[in-house]
Amino acid sequence: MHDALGIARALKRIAPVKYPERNLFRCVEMSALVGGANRRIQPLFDLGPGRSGQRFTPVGGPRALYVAEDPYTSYLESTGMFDSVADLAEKLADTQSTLQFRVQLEEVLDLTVADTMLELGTNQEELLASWEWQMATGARVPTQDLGAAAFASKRFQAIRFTSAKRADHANLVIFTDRVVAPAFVECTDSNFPDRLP
Amino acid sequence: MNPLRAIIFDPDTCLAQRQIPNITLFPAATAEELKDSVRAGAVDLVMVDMHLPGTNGLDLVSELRLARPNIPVIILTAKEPTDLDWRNAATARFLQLVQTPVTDSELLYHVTRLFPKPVEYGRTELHASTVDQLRNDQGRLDAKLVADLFGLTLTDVAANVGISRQALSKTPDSLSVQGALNQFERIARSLLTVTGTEKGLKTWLNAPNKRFDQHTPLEVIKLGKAALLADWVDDARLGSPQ
Repeated sequence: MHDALGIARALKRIAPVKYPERNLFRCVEMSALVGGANRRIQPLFDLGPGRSGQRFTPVGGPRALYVAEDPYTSYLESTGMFDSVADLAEKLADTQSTLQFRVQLEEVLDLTVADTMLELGTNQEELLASWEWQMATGARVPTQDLGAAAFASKRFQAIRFTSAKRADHANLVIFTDRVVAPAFVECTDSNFPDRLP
Repeated sequence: MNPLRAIIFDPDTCLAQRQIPNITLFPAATAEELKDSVRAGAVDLVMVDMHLPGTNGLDLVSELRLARPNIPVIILTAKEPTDLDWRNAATARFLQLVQTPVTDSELLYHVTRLFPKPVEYGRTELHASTVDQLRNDQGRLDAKLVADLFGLTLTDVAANVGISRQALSKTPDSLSVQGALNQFERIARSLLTVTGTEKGLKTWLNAPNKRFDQHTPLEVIKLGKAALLADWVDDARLGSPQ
């Protein structure tokens, strides 16, 4: 991956792609989404990644919603930290629910496209590397630099990237502050109405 | 636990020949055979193709549910599900939509969604007692007790406070020490919620983890990053694709 300046320059050369309306998924323990004055469930709760870091979100980074393009990938991703011990991930599955969203985005940085990776000076291996260990050792986390630069450029509403758990499936990180009409993100469960913008 | 009895009506797949743990699969040759088995209560789970000759899997499920309204159903589809398919699946009760081909583990995941296990409320008391053991008679978190539970030295614990071992011993009740020890308590509480036992907690802490580039979570703590690990464990327990 280029350095921060190189990333910013490369992003100017990359055209955002449209993301036609489709369903995306989030596997989560519902209690994690309770907040606000009414203590209601907020399916689009987006403050977690900036608090402790995520693959494309540095600590203190922008509000972000991490979702997968299919429910099983969402489950595998969300329980991945516990699959080092047999049966632990399955135990978590009993406590988590899968939320479904209708999503349409106008400007997406698609990292599953080879030319886009080339422009950024990166590759699949780097994009899927362990960002947690990099953070723990104080090393640079290239994906977090990219996420911060993509948000700062104001040219992208989301980043689409290959799943670290299923190479033929993809996830998105949506910068919720950048979602403006006609783009939208909407929870399909009528029990938990939530929508952006 | 008796294996689940699952009937499959899908002329185009050989799913019924699979050996899947805890599930006995058997095929229905016709829609009538499927309906008879469901009406007779001979099955716990129905798997049916979305696209059947002359009919549609969802219509067939509606018929089945006249007899057994809550029968769990997995709808199989070889085609990319349409928006309407996903919408129907999201609003239907006891129904999962699965794109084929499907691996055994993916199928088991969807079955788990249909047959959630009861939450073990008794565990909460177990967690509370184990985590309470980290506190001394004055109710303060005790560095020695923390070190013992995590299998760390006092020097490792001190590194997370940013002070020497000697300073840790001299000012165990200071706000900075208690704040740092609180991160260990968070980790213990979360891990006990997931693992259910102290042994499970220690096993996870000492197991090489892909998320840490095959290093163990304990190595993350030894880097002085207990607070970071506490956040990640919470995030992982609560769920979020990476």
